[in-house]
Amino acid sequence: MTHAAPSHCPSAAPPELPAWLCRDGAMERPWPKPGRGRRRGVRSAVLRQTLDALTGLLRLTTAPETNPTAAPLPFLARGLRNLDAQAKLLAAGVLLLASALTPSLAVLATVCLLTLTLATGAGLFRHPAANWWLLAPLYAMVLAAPATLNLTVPGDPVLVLCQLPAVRGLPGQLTVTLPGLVVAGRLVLRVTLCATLAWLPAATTAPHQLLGALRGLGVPRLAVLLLNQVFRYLDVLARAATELYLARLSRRLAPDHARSLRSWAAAGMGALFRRSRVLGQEVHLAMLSRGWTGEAHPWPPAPSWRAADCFAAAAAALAAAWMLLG
Amino acid sequence: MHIPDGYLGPQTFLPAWGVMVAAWGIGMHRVRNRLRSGMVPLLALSAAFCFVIMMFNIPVPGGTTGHAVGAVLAAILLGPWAAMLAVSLALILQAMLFGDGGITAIGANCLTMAVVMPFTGWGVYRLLAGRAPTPRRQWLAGAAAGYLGLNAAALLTAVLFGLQPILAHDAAGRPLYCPFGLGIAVPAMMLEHLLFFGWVEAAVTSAALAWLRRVEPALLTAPATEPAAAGRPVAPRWHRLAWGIVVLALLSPLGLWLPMRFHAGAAWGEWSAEEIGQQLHRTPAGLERLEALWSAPMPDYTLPGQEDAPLHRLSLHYVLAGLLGVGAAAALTTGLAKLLLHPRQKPLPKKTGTLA
Repeated sequence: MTHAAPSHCPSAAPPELPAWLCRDGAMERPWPKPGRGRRRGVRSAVLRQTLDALTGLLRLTTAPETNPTAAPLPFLARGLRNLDAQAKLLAAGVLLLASALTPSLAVLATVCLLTLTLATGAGLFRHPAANWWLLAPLYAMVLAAPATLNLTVPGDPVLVLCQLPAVRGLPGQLTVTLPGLVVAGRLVLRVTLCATLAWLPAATTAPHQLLGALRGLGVPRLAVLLLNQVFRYLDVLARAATELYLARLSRRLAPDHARSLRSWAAAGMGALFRRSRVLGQEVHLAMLSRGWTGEAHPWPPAPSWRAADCFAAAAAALAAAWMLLG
Repeated sequence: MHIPDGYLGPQTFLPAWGVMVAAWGIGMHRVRNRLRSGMVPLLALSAAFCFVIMMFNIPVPGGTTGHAVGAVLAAILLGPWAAMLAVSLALILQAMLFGDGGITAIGANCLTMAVVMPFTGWGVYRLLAGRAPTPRRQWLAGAAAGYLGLNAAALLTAVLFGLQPILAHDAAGRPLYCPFGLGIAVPAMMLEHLLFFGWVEAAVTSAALAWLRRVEPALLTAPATEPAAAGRPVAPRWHRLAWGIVVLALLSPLGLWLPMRFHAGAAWGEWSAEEIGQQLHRTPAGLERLEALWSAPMPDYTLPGQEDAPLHRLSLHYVLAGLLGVGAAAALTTGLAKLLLHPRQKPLPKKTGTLA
């Protein structure tokens, strides 16, 4: 089952290995950026967009945990990385729940500011998946914008935007209202805070440690085992899909029609399903040959908490209590 | 369709978690009996498959692109229960490791994309395709299943959004979570799914089925999780359920404490005649008469005459009412089951399986 173990090029590869042998060479984005012209536009971009998404996923699943050639991490990032995964999950979970429950705009704004400062200090904006994290608040801003108008949330006007035609049921003016701003601000702050709190442990902990911490927090053994396997084979399937798309892109001489692209994508899904099924059977046989009896092995015990872990969990619990009761 | 954290209030995301925990339990039980130890890698690979196909961009008529969810395709190929588990695993991983979709909203996201979508799609497919479908019928059934499955999921998402202003608002009546009511959320969400994304899902599902039928038809005749080996089913572990119910009953005073903490009024539509009188400045006579018809043995889950008791005593009454209610419901269900079941239909024997 050599294909099951993700390769960690370039960091995990021996230094004498030539670059062209490194399998992750495919992750260097050898294809050009999508064209801007209308003719090249959407149709020719579909393959590249998918390749970009798959490559981003591969970069995340195979991201080396410690890269000796990388620049040293800032103090805050090192501190967060050194915290126990269970303590981080517990602290983030408690704060996340409190953020989802608290109604106070001032509390949300204060905690959001502190959390964003922590995220900036931990270098989260430079993380490969930072755009996924930042998308949630940006989307919330766009979605909450209509809520600031008097058509959605009536109240005291703060800014008059324009006069509206005299239609029955419509107000005379289109205005931004104070209650609307409060509602929209609360939504954006809450979404930003929750997304950052959810992202902090994920970005500062190795995935297998994070999944192991779930077991320590009482998540059933089989569920953790399944999640761990999904993460492991995600890399294999994403690599297979990337190869499919790269092959298609390299064979393409004329622009594709949307219909043929749809058919091709559907065939790709079918092929990927076949591959996943065969791989599932192979993995099952490999597990049986190694003595798998259907019982998930006990998870290795989590390391005992140090003072810093206890401090982080206690601080999060206190902050959550303040958010709910303060 | 991934709902991030912050859009749904606890009145929505907690019940969604509850429903999903029960659904995952049932799903594991059903799949475990059929696949034995082979389930683990097959489910993991299926979840990885669902995750990866969400990355596939598809051109949409109108000049833009969308991506398929693939839950209906997974349901047709794997069976609805295995698809539910696979899509749930993919969604949990997306939320936990990649920040796509909220942590508190995992329950709601799984409910829409891992339960409603695959089950609706699978039901429509089975209904239209029948037992021995022709290629054309299978293609049409796949398209209809993809289209209706995605739109059913989108409708539930829109309803969850639209309920937020009704369920959770501050003292001034301003919504605490998603600010748009059903009148805005449902048309806004459904328009794009009915016009664009539904067709993507339909095209992809039908084309993938057509391709598989041509290349490997055996995959379509027996879904991967249909009974493969004879094995006696494992009886459900009722004591876990019983302990779960007891824990929930003990936690029930939260329903008393949280509304007090956040100064919430009565739930929408559950006003007493007195509260309606305060809102309308008059009390409908018929309502007053109907309200006096029946007086509950434990009004508002407290003992009669104890409505103004201190919070700790009210909490005890709440727990007591919960346990009494659960006991009464269990007794009633057991009695009905005994009456309705065929006398020869014996309960399943005790645990015989070996899987964890």
